Amino acid sequence: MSWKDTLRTALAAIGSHRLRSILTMLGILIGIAAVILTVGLGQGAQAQVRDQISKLGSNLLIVSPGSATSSTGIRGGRGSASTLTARDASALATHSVAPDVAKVAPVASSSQSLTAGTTNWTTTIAGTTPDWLSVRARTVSEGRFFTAPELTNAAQVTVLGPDTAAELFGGRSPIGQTVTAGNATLTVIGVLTSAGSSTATNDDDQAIVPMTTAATRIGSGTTRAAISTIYLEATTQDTLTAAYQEANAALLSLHGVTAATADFTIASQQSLLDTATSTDRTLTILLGGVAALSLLVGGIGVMNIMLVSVTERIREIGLRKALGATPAVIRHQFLTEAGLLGFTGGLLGLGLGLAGAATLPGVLNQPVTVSPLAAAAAVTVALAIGIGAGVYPASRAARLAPIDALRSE
Amino acid sequence: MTAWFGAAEPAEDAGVPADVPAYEDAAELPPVPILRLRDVRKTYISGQLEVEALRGVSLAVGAGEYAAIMGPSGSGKSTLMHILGCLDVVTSGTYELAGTDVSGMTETDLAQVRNRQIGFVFQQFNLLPSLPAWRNVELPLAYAGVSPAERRDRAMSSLERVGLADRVEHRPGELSGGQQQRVAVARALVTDPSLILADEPTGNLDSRSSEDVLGLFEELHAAGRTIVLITHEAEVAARARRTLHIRDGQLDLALSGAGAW
Repeated sequence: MSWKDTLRTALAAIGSHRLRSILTMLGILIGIAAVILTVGLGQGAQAQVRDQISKLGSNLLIVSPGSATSSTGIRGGRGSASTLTARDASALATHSVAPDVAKVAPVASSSQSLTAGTTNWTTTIAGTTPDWLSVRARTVSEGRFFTAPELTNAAQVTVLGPDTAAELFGGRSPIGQTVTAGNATLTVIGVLTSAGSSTATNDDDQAIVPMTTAATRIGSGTTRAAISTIYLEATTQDTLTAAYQEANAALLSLHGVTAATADFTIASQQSLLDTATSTDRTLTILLGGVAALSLLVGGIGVMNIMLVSVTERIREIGLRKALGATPAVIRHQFLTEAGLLGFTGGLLGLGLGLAGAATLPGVLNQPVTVSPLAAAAAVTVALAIGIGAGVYPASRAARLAPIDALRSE
Repeated sequence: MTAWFGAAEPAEDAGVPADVPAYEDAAELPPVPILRLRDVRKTYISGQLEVEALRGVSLAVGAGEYAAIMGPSGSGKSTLMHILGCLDVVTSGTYELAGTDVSGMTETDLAQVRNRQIGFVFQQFNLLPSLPAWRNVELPLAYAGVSPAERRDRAMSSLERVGLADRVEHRPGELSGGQQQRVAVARALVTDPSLILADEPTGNLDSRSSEDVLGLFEELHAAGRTIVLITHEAEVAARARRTLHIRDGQLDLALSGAGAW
């Protein structure tokens, strides 16, 4: 019996009990759609996080105060809120200390109310160096960024994020306008290009000023010398590890601490990515597991129906055997039938999953990614489940003695 | 169609001519035995009870013979039919079909023997209700691995042979009992088997349709086919050229006469 004949026979058998076959496939269909959506949601969330982190800049190391230890969370600095200082930043910028660090951008940020004319807007004021623009992979859409002399002179200039500019000046060009922050009057010299907002922090709503300006004119008392983050850019992708080790050693010696008592943390893009995606992955595995269970239930449904089908068709099996069907041919026929149920259910489930992937992002505000590989894997798994569920019923049919089968009513 | 040679072909494939046993009296016995049973016993075990359905049956049927096996219910004729049709295996003794000993064959080998050597006609017709007549007829050829085009041609000519050329697309439900049984005969003929084995072929038919089917068997016999018919009706058995009587699991030699062996 050729595979075409087997397939035609299986299709005819499935078609002769249309409603039953559809209900059976429904179990597989729902399972596959659920798996595709949960995995798609997980992959979508991971892709989103990866995208955001890669937007931070290239070859980036992020030094933050406090130390994350493996078991006890964040250890604070010795008595102060922030342990990083401008001295640390300038040390790291010295070529002899950290030769693989190309650029250093310390950031001292504080929340301040900005005033432009009669408009008030509370935002983050970040004091930093001219390197910030390239380290954070940002560009200026209008005007310019501040320069090294302006940093040295603590010039009263600022570069606004696009959202901040829009809030303070509406549609007008902010270049050359002035804003007041605390006691300082700052001239707007540029507007940043939008980085695309993330849900956690809005990179488009901030005012960038020279670090010296922030320290001497805007900041208050204790926080003046404190740096909230130091962004480092390694010379190349390959020297990232070297840059990490140099910065780590330099800071340990500057702070007079050992690795065990470190009061700072250096994270790379990769480590941020790992932390962010590991939580997503856990959730994906959990949800995917639930979806896989529903697929298993679907498989049991297929097995149940195949057993019913074998019992109903005992006479037909007996006749086919009398006419020359070998046990292998009978087994093959029932396996094909079960596989076809699984495969068709899988295809329909894929269709439902794709439809869900197209509509869900609008409802949940979450991206859903269905890769071709995941789609192919889902349909293959559905086929395998169908065939797997058919093994026992098919071998029962194959083992039937022809006379018993022919005799039954 | 030269049915005689047609019928003998598969036997030659199985290597018959080499070991045809010698008969003591060539005049009385068939020239080429298609099937030969030697002291066949069949014991069923149902629960703790052993039922001996066949108790040493020996017989031979020659090529081109039209034989009837007759007996009351419980005589063992159904069991004998299952053995002859390779649907069941003997407990002891040997069964040669077309020169090959099939007594010890595996289920897979037996399926192939049934497919190539035997054409079944059942009391219940046993047609698949969802398939049109010609699809039912081509089914044994599908299991034999014949190409679809050839299958269709052979199914058509087989249906023509039984006078149903105009009913090839009808499903069994759209045919009368007599017509359904003729479709079943067409299916039995389509593989050109060594033996046509008919189990109560008229049991579910009215007398006109019965006459129809028995007439068809006579035509097939005249064309050289070997037919074994199992029945409990004397008037059906009388249509055959030879009648073997079975009673209590043994051939009744007095009634069966020559050839029972």
